[in-house]
Amino acid sequence: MIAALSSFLLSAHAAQQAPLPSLAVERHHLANGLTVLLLEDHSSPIVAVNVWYSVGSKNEEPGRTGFAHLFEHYMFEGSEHVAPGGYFKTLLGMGGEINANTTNDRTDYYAVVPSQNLEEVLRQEADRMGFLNIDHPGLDKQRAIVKNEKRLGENQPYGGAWEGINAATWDKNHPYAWPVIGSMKDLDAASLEDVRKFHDSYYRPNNAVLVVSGDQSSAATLELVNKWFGTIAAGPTPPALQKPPVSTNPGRRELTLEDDKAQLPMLFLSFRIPGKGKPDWQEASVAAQVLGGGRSSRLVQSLQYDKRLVLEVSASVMGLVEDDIFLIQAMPAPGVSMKDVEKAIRAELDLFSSRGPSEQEMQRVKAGMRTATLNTLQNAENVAAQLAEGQALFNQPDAVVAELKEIAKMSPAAPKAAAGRFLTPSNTAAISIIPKSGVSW
Amino acid sequence: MNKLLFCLVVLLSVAARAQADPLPPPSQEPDRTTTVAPSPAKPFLIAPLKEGLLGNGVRLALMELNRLPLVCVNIVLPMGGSALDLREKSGLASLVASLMTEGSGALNGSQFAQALDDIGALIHVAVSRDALSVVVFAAKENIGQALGLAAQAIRKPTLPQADFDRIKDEMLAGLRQEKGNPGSQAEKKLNLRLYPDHPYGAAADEASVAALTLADAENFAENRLSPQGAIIAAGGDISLPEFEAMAAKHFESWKPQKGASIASGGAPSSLNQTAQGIIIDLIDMPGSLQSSIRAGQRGITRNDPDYMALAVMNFLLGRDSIVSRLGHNLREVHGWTYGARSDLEALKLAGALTIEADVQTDATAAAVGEILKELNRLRDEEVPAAELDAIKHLMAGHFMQRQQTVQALASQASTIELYGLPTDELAAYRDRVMAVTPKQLQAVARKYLRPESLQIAISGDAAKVIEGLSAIGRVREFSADGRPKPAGFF
Repeated sequence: MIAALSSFLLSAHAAQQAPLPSLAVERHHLANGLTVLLLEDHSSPIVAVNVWYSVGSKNEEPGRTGFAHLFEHYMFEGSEHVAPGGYFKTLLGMGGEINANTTNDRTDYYAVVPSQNLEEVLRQEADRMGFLNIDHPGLDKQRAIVKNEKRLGENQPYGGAWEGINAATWDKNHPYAWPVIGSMKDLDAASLEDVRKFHDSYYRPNNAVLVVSGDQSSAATLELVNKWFGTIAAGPTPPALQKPPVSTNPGRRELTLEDDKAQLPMLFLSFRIPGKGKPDWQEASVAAQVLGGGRSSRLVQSLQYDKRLVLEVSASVMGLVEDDIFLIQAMPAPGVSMKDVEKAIRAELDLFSSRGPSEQEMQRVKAGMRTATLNTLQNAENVAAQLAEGQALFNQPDAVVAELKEIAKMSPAAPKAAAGRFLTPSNTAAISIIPKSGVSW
Repeated sequence: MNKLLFCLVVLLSVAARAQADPLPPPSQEPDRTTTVAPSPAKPFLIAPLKEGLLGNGVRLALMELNRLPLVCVNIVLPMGGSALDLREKSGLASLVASLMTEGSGALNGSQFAQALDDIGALIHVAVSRDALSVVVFAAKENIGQALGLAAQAIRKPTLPQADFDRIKDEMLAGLRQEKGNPGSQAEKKLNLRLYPDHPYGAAADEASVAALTLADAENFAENRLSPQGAIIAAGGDISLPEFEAMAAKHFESWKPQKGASIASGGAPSSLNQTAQGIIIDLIDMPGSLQSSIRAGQRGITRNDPDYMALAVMNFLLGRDSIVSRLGHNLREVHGWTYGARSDLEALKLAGALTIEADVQTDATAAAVGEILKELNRLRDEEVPAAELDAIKHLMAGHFMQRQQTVQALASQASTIELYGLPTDELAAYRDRVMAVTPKQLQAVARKYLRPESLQIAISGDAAKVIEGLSAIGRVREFSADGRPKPAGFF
C-alpha cells in the first residue's frame, strides 16, 4: 500500500506542467477616464463585452439599502436610443447572452454574442452609460421583480443566513452590515430622483472598466469604443466610501436565528479578515482551502469523516474588497450540539495556527488553484470578468494569473501566521440557525 | 510559446504608452439612433466527433479542443442509471455514487481524496435516470493519473461499511432538508405525476433509503458498475491515439461479471395523457412568501424525430427565464416573479416538458392561468416569423457559447453515444435549428401539448391560494410532509 501511494506521488511531481496562458491584454484610457481592456482570441467567433462599474451596495445611503441592485435592474429599462426591454430583446435576437449582477462592491454588466454583433453591443452599453431614461414606469416594474427576487431567496431553507452573518460580523455602521438585496421598506422608498443621482455619481466612464475579449481585432475595436463612448462626459470623482475602522479583535459575538424552512440546524463561524488583495488576504484564503476546501481538507477529514460530528463542513473566504469574511459552515450530525461542533472546529483552528499546513497540503492548494484558474479561463465571458476585476481592484488586468504565481511561491509559514492573527476566539462571530419546528430525530 | 512571449512584451509596451496618453475624443457625436447592422457572420467550426472502440466493447468518443491544457473525461455507465433501481430501493445508485470514491484498490477514502488533490484533479460521480457518470477533470499532464483513479473507483471500490453508514445518514438528512424547500417539494410531487408506474417516477424517500444495505451496494458494484453499454467520452487537449491508449490501459481488461443480472425497476408505461382535466396538488407551507409552481406533461424520447422542433418550441416557450414567452409574460409584463422557465427533458425511455415559476402569493392562480394561456397560444396561433427567427438565433448562439469548455464537449460527446444520435448531431445542430418553420412548430405544439390536462404541483400558503386555484382545476391538498390532508376538508 505504501509503495503504491508513493509511486503516485512521485509521478505526480514528475509530470511536466504546461505553462499558464499569458493574458496578452491591451490597456487604454479614453479622455473621459474610461479604462478599456482588449484581448484577442480568435479560437471561436464569439466575443464577450463586460462593463464593470465600481459601485455596489456598500455605496448605498441609509434608507436606500438594495438600491445598487435595483438600479442594475433599472439599467435594462431602456435609454434614449434603446427601447425599454430592448437590451434583452435585441441581444438575444443576435444569439447572445446578456445579464448583470451586483455585489457589495461592484456592478457587472456582460454580453456574449457572435462576434459580428460587437458594435451593436457597444452602442447599447454606451447608450445606457450616457443616456439612461429617468422618467418612465420601469422603476415600479423592476421594483416588483426585485421584491420577488428577495422573496425567492428568503423562501428557502437558511434564506436569512447571510443577513444574519453580515449583521453579526460587522458593526452597524459598516457598509457590509446590510444585505445587497436590501430591505422591502427601502426598496419601496427608492425614487426616480435616487436613480438620477446614482447614475450621475457612479455610472460615469471614469468609474468604469470596459473589457472586450474574444474574437475581435483590438485596433479596430478601440476605434469603435472611442466612437461610442468617447463623447460621454466624465463625472465628478465618486463620493469616498464612509467606513469605520475594523478591528480584528472585536470580542466574540453570537446570534441565533429561527428558520421556518430549515429542517436541520446550521452553524456559521465568521471571522473578519483583510479585504481581497490586501496583505494577509491570500494567506487566509490558502488557510481556508487547507482547512475546509474539499474532501481532503482538515475539517472534512476530522469532523465529517473521522468523528462524525457533522453532516457537512466547509471553509472559504468571500472575496469582499474593503474587509473580508473567513467563513466556516457546518451542519451538526443528528444528536450533536452546536457547542461540540464549535469546540471541534476550534481545536482544528488552534492546531493549524500553532503548526501551520504541511508542505504537501500547500502543494495540494497550489495544484487545485491552478486547475481552477485554467477552468475559469475557458470562457470568453469569464476571462472578461476576471480582467475587469483585476483592473478595477488592483490596476492589474491579469491579476488572476499573477495571483497564482504569488501562491506558487508561498511558504507554509504564511497561512499559519494569518490563521494565528485572524482565526481567534475573540474574532469569532457564531451564527446559529435553528429550525423553527424544532429538531427531533 | 516564444512567439507568445514576444507578443506579450510588445503589447505591454503599447499599454504603457496608451496609459500615458489617453485617446482624444472623436470630433463628432455618432448617430446613436439606429441599430448597427451586423458584419458578415464568420464560420463556426465545431470539432468533429471522433470515435473508437476498446476490445471489450466499450465505446470511445472524443471532441478535441486545444486552447488550454485541460481534459475532461466522462465514463458513462448505462447500467448504473437510477431508473434501474428497484422502486423500494430508490436512492441506491446515488448512494453508490458517493460511496465508490471512498476508497478503492489500495487507497482508503482519505488517500483517494488526497491523491486527487495532489494533482489538482476532480472526480465527480453523477447519477441520472439513464446512467451513472464518472466525470474526471484535470490539467492535461494529470489526466492519465486521474483517469487511473477513476478506473479504480469503478472497478475496485472498497465500499467500507462505516462510510456506507455515514453516507446513508447524510442522504437521510438531505431528504429531510428538502422538506423545507418549497421548490423541491413541488418538483417531487410533479415527477410522481409525470411518471406513474414508470421507472423514471421513482424517487428516493426516507423509507427506501433506510432500506438500503451494504449488500445492495456490493451487488450494485458487481453488476451495475459494468462495461455493458459503457461509453468513455472525452473533450479537450488530447489526441485520439493518446486517448485510446489511456482508455485501453485502464479499461480494456474490464469484463462484465459472468451471469451478471439486474432486476429492473419496472417496464415503461406509455404516454399517460388521459382526459382527466386539470388536477392541482397543493402542498401547504403556511407563511410562504411565494408559491412554487411546477407543471408539466409527458413528452418525447431524445432520439424522436420531432426532437428539434420541440426543442425550438421549448426555447420559445420558456428556455430563457426572461425573454422566452413565459418569462416575458410572468416577469416582464406582470412582475409576479423573478423568472419563469420551461425545460424539455428528453431521455432514453420517455420525456417530459416541465415549467417552473416561483410567484408572489397573491398572483398564484393568475400565474397558472397565464401559463395555460401560453400553452394554448402555441397550439392555436402560428408563431410570428420574426419572433421565431430571434429565438432560433438565440438557440444557435447559446450552442456556440456552450462549445467553449472541455466539460461541455465531453458531456455532449457522451450524450450522442448514450442516446444513439448521429455523429454529425453537433456539426448540423445550428442548421437544423434554423430550418424549423412556424408551421412545423405549430404542428408539434398541436401534436404534443395538452394544457387541458396539465399536471400541476404547487407549494405555498394554501389558505391564501386555494380559492383561486379551485377555479382552474380540482385541488388536492397535502401537508408540508407530503401526506394528503383529510378528504372533504374543502
